[in-house]
Amino acid sequence: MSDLPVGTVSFVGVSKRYRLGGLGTLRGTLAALSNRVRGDAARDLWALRDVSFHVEPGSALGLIGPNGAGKTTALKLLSNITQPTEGQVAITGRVSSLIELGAGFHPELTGRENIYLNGAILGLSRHEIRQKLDQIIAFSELERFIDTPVKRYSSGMYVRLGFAVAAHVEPDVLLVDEVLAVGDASFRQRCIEHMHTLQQRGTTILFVSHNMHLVRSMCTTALLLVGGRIRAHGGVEEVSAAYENAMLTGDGHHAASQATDPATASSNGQVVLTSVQVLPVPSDEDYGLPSDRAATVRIDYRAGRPQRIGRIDVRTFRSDGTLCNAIDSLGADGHDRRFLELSGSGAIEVCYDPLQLTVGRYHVLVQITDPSDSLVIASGQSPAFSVREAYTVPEPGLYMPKVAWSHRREGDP
Amino acid sequence: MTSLALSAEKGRPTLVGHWTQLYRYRDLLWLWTLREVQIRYKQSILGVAWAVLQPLVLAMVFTVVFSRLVRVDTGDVPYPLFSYVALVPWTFMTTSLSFGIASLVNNMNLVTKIYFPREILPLASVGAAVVDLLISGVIVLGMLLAYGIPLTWACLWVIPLLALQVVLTVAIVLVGSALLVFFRDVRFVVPLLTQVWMYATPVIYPASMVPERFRSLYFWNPMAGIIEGYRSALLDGAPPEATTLVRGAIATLILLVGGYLFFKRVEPAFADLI
Repeated sequence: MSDLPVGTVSFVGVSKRYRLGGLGTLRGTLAALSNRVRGDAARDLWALRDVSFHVEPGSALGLIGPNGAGKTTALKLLSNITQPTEGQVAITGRVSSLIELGAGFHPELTGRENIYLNGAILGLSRHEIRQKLDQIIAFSELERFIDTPVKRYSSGMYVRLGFAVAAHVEPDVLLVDEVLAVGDASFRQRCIEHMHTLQQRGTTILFVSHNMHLVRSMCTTALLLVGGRIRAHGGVEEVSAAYENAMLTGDGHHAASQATDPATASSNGQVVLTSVQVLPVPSDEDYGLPSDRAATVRIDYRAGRPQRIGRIDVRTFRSDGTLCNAIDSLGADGHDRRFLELSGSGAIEVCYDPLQLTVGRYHVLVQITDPSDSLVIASGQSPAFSVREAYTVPEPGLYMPKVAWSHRREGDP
Repeated sequence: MTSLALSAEKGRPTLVGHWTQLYRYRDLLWLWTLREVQIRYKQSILGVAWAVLQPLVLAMVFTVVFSRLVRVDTGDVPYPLFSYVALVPWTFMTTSLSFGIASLVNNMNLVTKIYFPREILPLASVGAAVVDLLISGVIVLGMLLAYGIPLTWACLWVIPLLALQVVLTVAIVLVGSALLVFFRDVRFVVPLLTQVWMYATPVIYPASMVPERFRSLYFWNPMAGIIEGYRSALLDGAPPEATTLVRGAIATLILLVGGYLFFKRVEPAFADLI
């Protein structure tokens, strides 16, 4: 492997298997063992299957695909967090990731103390950090707060500090995973500038994103993963177009949900979404759900065995494939610690009040992740539904906000 | 981190390989230890005083029980001193175990997101407990002077004894923290076992109270030799018993190498399981 030039990334026939459930308690392990003895392989989930690709030093590869396609697993393999079940992963040079900004930050410690800690986690020596400390602080624009515990930081400041450290690692290979979703527009801009700078210096970049526009601007080649396998690999234009087409026809979602085979799933303890419905179902004389009223997404599930889940994702797509909104269950549990525990069968409801969609045809995609939030363990899609607007004239646009008008003339009392 | 090649079929890395990797991350180990010390006391009102208070309160309780209610013969040594000398290193052990064993699971965010040698987390917990130990060690010194115990060269035996105890603790914490990732039951087992272990160790009573015929079996517990060693070095001004010490050292080294190899063997599975 050492004969590869610095900055090379290569996957040769890489597969990664996760065993779902089981281990965690002694009882679970015994159950898992007995399953294995019986040759029951249905609990295995192949997050990646026979994936091979090669990235030359200094080039940029976009990794795209629907949720659960294996992108995150690929990045985890690259950053040495997890090992492949089969095949070989080789990566030469210093690897850095813009995956988890501010990893290891402790709220009680000051910004300065956290810079040292975070830098060391990212592989910098204390000497290197000391050398770059002033630069890092200046880059974060947090000079005034650098000796304040980070628990007093706003989330924006937190991310800025994390990014400032990550930006000074000077890697040979940079891994980026949707980090641009956090922070405001100017922060996003700086991230992109930073990546361009690194690119000019010859850093290899692996970029995971759902934003095809960004992927096209950053990368020359792209890899489309669907259900853990390579669906397309080549020039960024063709591959991203293939992805967008797949999303449009719903092919992508279908492939993503194949990860769990519903026929065998519930009998061996997995979660199955038995139905996803958007309620109320409008009667025939209505032309669809009214935009200004409440609507509820109802998710019926069956869990063969009580288990915790990580997150519930609910995405609303218009018939042309546009993602209209995406909500997840983070914070939905309130004070109910059992909110994310599924057992037996039940129904989870999300109420959109008011619905606020404009006139058109829509469907809802629901995905449930495992407790580590890295795998989709169950997914389901609602039948298509129509939305009619509250007013007679259809309004263009993506959503109908609830508005209040006012008008004040100068000189009015 | 100059070159990294990962594959499913690569040969098993050697002990030396693990060490060099850990050495490369020595700054992280140091900074993480510092962090553990800082955060432990940053939010508590009494701060570092807790390091001293914990064994002190225990020593007071045991003094009332074992020198007033039930008489335990500790020879010429006053019971408070007798028990505090043992409770300080024992508290170090229990603190290390409770923080160290939980360290991987408590930092799952990090373990699932970024690579670094995972043993840094349990090692740093033990390192932070060493700081506590040194602080309460100062109190031990003060008590020795207050009770008029002469300080002799034999006191220096404390240093190898401490080293031995730290190594033993590291070995247990490595195995325990890894097991906790696989079996959350460990969380309940550890406090129970440490309780039992304390009564199997001459912490609150002298080893001389153990019947002669059980003595050799009794000293298979490496902590028994270590605790008796502290007492003999500090209170009697005599070196610890050589055979017990050597046997303890050998057992401890085997535990360390075995424990570390076990830890590194199962390490790749942590991120998949946590």
